[in-house]
Order: sequence, then structure tokens, then C-alpha cells
Amino acid sequence: MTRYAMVIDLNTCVGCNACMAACAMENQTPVWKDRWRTYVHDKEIGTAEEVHRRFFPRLCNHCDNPPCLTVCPTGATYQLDNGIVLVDDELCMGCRACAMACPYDARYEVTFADIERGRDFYGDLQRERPSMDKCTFCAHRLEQGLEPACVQTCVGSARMFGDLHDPEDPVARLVASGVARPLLSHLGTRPNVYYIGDLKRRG
Amino acid sequence: MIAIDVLPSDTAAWADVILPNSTYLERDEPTLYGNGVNHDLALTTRYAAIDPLFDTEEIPDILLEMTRILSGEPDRLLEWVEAMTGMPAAPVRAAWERLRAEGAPSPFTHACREVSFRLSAERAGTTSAELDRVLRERGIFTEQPREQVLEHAAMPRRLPLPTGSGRVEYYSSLFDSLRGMGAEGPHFSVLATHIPARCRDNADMAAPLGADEFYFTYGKTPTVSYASTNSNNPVLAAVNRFKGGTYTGIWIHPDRAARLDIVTGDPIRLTNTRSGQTATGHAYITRLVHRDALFIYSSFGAENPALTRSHGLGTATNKLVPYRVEPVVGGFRSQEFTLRVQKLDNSGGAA
Amino acid sequence: MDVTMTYATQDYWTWWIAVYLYLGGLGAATLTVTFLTDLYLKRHPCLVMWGAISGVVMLGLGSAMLFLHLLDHVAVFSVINPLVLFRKPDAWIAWGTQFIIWMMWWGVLYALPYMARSEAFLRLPLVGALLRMRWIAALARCCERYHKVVGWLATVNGIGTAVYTGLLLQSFPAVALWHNPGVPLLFTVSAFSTAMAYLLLVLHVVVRREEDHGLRVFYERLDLMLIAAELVILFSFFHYMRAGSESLYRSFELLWNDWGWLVGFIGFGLLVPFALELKGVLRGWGSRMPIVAASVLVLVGGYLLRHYFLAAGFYAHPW
Repeated sequence: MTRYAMVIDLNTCVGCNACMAACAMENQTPVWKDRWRTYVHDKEIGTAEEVHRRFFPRLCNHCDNPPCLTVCPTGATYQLDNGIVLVDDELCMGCRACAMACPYDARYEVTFADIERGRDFYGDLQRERPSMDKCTFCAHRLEQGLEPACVQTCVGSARMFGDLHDPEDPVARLVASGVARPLLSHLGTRPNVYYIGDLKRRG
Repeated sequence: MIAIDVLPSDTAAWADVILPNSTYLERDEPTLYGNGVNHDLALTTRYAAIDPLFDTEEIPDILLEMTRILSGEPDRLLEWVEAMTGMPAAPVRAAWERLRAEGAPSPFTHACREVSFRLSAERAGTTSAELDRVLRERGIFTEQPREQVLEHAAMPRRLPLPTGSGRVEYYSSLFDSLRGMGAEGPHFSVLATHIPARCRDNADMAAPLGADEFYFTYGKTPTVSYASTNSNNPVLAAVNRFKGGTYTGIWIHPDRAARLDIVTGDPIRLTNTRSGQTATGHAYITRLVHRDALFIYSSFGAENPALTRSHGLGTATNKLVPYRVEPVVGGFRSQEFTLRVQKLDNSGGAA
Repeated sequence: MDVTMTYATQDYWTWWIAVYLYLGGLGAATLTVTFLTDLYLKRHPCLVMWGAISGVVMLGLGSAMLFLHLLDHVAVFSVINPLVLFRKPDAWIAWGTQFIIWMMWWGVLYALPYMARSEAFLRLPLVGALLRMRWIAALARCCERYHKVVGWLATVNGIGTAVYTGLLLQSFPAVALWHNPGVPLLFTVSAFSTAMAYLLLVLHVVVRREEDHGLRVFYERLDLMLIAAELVILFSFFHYMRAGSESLYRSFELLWNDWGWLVGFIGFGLLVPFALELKGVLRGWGSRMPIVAASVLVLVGGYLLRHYFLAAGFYAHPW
């Protein structure tokens, strides 16, 4: 069975934000209120004169043990066999418990007002009900054999997407090698987004 | 004044006549050009992604029509195009007349494109149709892979240096010829010459800066194109808002800002110590900029309210850069001055 | 990977969830205490009616807070349907919603026989007519016959609701202040303490019968023990929060440097009422006002606890 995962190389992210634009257009996110499924932190790190600019792309981690799923009272949040965590707009009542549970701050509100605004903004809006929305790893594109929009558009090839259960997959090899590591793994969420650190190469 | 633009830009606001231009998404480019991404010898061009949304026109056709109106001699434009780009005037003229008779949109642009395809195909030993098919499918047409290119064109093997003699030259025959044509001054020196930088009229570079004085540097954002043709795009505007002060603020080092009692978000005024030009903006305090310099992204500062998503955002570099031309390449000397920083109160007056 | 940590509180669940947790715990515990009193201490129709009605109103108001803030009010039907417990047995809001709904039903049913006999209720325009309906009268008789079963069903749901308010916060793993078994304990003890305070107010201000003196003293003693327990739990929290994780320590810095928490909640919400009730239990007061004041303070403190707990939860973000 496929287990989807993403590896993000902080060494090659140039901070162009093309992933944000591509994702917004693909998934019609409420960008007018600054809510994105994926976004890139622009951080100043380092001490004294050793200052670096780090671009830190973020998205839902599609955890193997997703806290947002267990707390969801309606069953709107569900997980596919391939690991992708999705939200059913029809079922979600918007109690926001998922947002409280998510350590990765990956949930955002889509309200009726946003749906109204979205029709103006994107034209043909692909949703009718509000929900606590999130990244889907572009499940609809994966079904068509395409990569997630953020991965396909990434000019620095900083985002790599693959199958952890395929030992030949470059993403699986990066994860197995230990060079790519997840965020907040001590919380027991078993995330499927991994990061390759940047400071060693810069140092 | 006539402006050709895709948006109601700040320049368009001053124009007496605006000739609306098609956007790159609506455009079949008039020529093929080299692919600059890798070392393969390859061709590429742009295909229109959508039909034009409005009654707009392509630049070659606008220029041709303006030539006709001004001089009544459109052939002169074709001759100049041939002289400057190598695009042969006669076949372009023939194609243009045919397309015009057929009622095709932007006939001159498409005539140039047709000839460009034909010539490129001939050179590559293929047909225009095949070239078109490959480009539509793959985006590029490879004439020669880089390994083959390097076989005959690798510089170390064929030409040690890209000078007239192929050797190290301390003497510029180009500048010598320019001097012969009347160019004067140290910038056109035929020998390599050091010209000291000068950012202040009354002080050299070694003199210390005033407490409120900074050098100036600027850069580009990935979200706004070189000519700001996408500055009103709603999603990219949302990215700009997400980036906040990083993109639209004036970068100041915290050590210097502290001495001026400036924190991130404070309204400030910049004054060019040489030209007296001023611009306002908001401070963004970061260690990513040198202590002695201010940094601005040059993508912002539009003032035309018709740019609904970008006007009033950020600081325009062209309000600070004086009209002083660098004599060799003709560009603006956009950093040869210093700026004074003054903190403003919220009403815009000096704090 | 070297990371720069960002510590952030949340603004998804603010005062309205604090009200929901507060009124949920208070309402459920009020119902539970009145029914257990009626079943095992002394038959007390007046107290039961007061407890049942105010409990149901509190649960209703608390749930309304959550309901009004939902993004999609129609979708709420999937959690109101009891089958949700089979579909989402891991979600505490599902359990909580069911506890609250059934608590309200069993609460009304337990009080129904008393209401059917109450002159005051029978005189009320619409309610009186309802209570006189034949099938309601039959239902009331049935509830009277099985009042122990109904009382215990209400009690189970009531305790469930009170515990749930803490389990809900405990289910968020990213925030160390919430994700520990002390929270359900603290919230349950606080729920029952505020319920005692509420019932003391009822017995001192509204019902005011001489024969209830023993009951009042008993409630005072219970409340005293509950406040003491709450102080012990908070003392443990104080020491637990001093070290452990940065998320926890940030909460420590925020809470234990805040006058609202220290003076408002710990001081006036717990220590002052504890002192007032302690004197009442040991030596007695000449007036009912000190106990009334203590009860009001405990009730205000109960809300402050939940408000501060929600506001002080820190997420540790490695970016």
C-alpha cells in the first residue's frame, strides 16, 4: 500500500512562494483573509553576526496518528489508506477542535462568508459548505497521476513527493537515511512531512 | 504622452493616450528565442494560454500602426527590425499582407512569428509544423545537446578569452573606438581604471555616516514581475500581504534603528542627501541588512488607485533614485547617494 | 535540524468555550448533586426542581455558546444523533454532546413527578397545561416509580459531562498545560465545587427553610473539601508547570504572574471562600451573608479557571 510523504529541503527553498500561489489557485483557499494550506515562513535565524534567512515551507503533516482526526466529533476528518488526512465539508460542523489539536497549525476556517467571497475571487468555487479546511496533499491530482500543485511548481525542487513504502522511491530513501526529519515527533503524531536542515551546509 | 501597458500603472495615469497591451498569457510571441535554462542549444517561445479578455493589441502591431500614422512608411519599421534583429523584411512584409488580407488578429506579430518559425526550422533541418508540434508538446526544441555544443564551442578549447585577440587585454579597442566617436571621461578609459565610488557631494566614502544616514540598496520580489505587470494579481497580492513588512517595509539594522528610536512598523521618511528627493514608508527592523545600508524591495510603491490591490503598499525606489545616468551602459546610478531617515508620527509629521 | 521555536497561544477557542465548559460542568454537577441529595439524604422536591431547571438551563446556555459559534449549524445533527458514539467513540465532543443531551432529558424526567404535583408549576400558563396532559401524567408516574433508575442515569451523565469538560482539553497533545490527567480531575472537582456554591446560594437566598440547616452545613463541608482538593491540585500544577517543557513553562510564566489568576481566581475564587466556609463550618456565622458571598466568589472563580486555562495554553512551533 502506498504511504504518501513529502520531503522539504530547506537548502534549496528560495522563498519564491510559488507553492503558495499554486496551492491557492488549485485549492481555492481563502487568501483574502491570509489563510493558506501551505505557506513559507521567512525567518531570520542565527546569532550575533552569523545571521541567515531561512525559508520554511509549511503544510499539513498528514500524520499517521493525527490528533485532529481523533478529536473530530462528526467524523468529518478521515484518513485514506494511503495516509492522506481529509475533511468532508458536508459533515464538518466547524467546532474547531481539530485546530486546537493540531500541533502544526494546519487548520483554518472557511465560513459561509468566505464561500460567498470565494465565488467572486475564484469564479467557479468547488465547495458549498463551510468547514475547518486543510491541505489534502492534492489528493485529487494524485488520482490523476499528478504531483501536488506545490511540488510541481517548486522551482528549487525543494519539495519532493513520494511513497514511503517503495524502497526505491527517492523520498523513502531520504527518510530512511535520516537526513530528512519530521517536526515535533515527540508528540507521537508520526508526521509524513520531513525536512532537510539547512544550517550545516551554510555553516 | 502615450502609454502602452497591461494595467492602469502609475505611468498610465499620466498618459494622454493609453494603448492597452495584451498580457503574456494572451500572447503568441513574435519570435523564437534561445532557451537559457541549460547549456543545450535549444529554442523556445511562448504560446497564448487564453484568448484575449479585452480589446487589446500586441506591441509589434502597435508600433507598426504608429509608424504608419507618424510617417506613412511602415516599411521603414520592417527595415529597422531587419537591421537590428536580422528578421528579413521582405518575407515578413509578404506574410503580414497575407495575414492582414485574411483578417487575422495582430497580423504583424503573427507574420514575424511565422517567418521566425520558418527560418528556425530551416536552420534545424525540420519544418515549421514539426517545430510547432515539438514546442507545444515539450516547451523546448533541442537543436543540439550540450555535449555536442561543447565539442565545437567550448571556450577553453576554441577561444581562451572572449576578447578581440583571444588573450588577456588591458587595452579596450571598443572603448578606444567609442572615444574616437566622442565619448569622454574616465568611464571610457581604454585601460582598466578604478573610479572611486561617490555617494555624497561633500564627503568621500571613508568619512563616517551621520547617525540618521544610510547607503541604499534594493532588490526584487518573486511575486512582482520586472515591469510590475502582475502587481494587481489577487493571489500574488495576498502573498505580498502575507509577507508583510519583509516585502513592503524599509529594512533597517536593529542597532541603527535603536539609536533612532525606530521599531518595526514605524512610519519613516527617507530623504536623498544629494537630490533632496523624499519618500515615506514603514520601517522593518532586521539583522539581514548591513548596519550602514537601507534595503527596499523595488516591486512596490504604486500610487495609481486603479491598481486596487497594490497602490499605497510599500515604498517606490523611483521616488528616491535621481535622474543621473551611468555613461557607459546608460542605466540609472541608483545607489550612488545616501539617505537620511526621519521617524514620523502617525499623522505623517516628524516625530 | 536547528530550529527557531515560536510559542503561541490560540484564538480558536476563547471565552465562549470557557462559558461552555463552565456552564456544562456547573449544570451537570448541580443536577447530579440535587438528585443524589434527593435519593439518599433527604427527599427534597423543591431543591430537585430548582436544581433540575437551573441545571438544564445552564447546560442549554453552555451548549448554545458552542452551537452559536459553529461554522455550519446544520451539520450539528451528526453529533446529536446518538449513533455518533459508534462512529466516533474516540472524540470527546461526541461523548460530551451525548452526555449533555441525556443529562437534560433525565434531569427533566427526574423532576417531572415533583413538577406535576407542584402548585406553582400547575399554575403556569403553558407548563400547567402540559403537566395536566394525560400522557405526561403517565410519564411522571412512571418516572416516580423508577426514580432511582432515572436519578442514576442522570447522575452517570452528569458526572460524565463534568469529567468530559476536562477530557476535552486533555485531548490536545500539543499543549502541555492541557495534555495531562490533572485537567479532568481539576475540572471535575471545580464543577462540583461550583455546583455546591450554586446550591448553597439557592438554599440561602431562594428556598431558605429552617429545616434545611443540616443540608446547608453538609454542602458547606463538601464545598470546603472540594475547594481544598482544588487547591491541592493547583499546588501540584504549580510545581508540575515549573519545569518539563517550554510549552508548560510558558504557561507557568503567564498564569502565575497574572493578577487575575493569582488574586482573582486563587485568592478570591478559592482562598477567601475557603476561609469564609471554614469559619462557617468550625464556628458558624451569625448571618447568611458570608456564605452567600463565598458562593458567589466560588462561582466567579469557576469561570476564571476555565477562561485562564484556555488562554494560557502554549503551542510550541518549531519554525
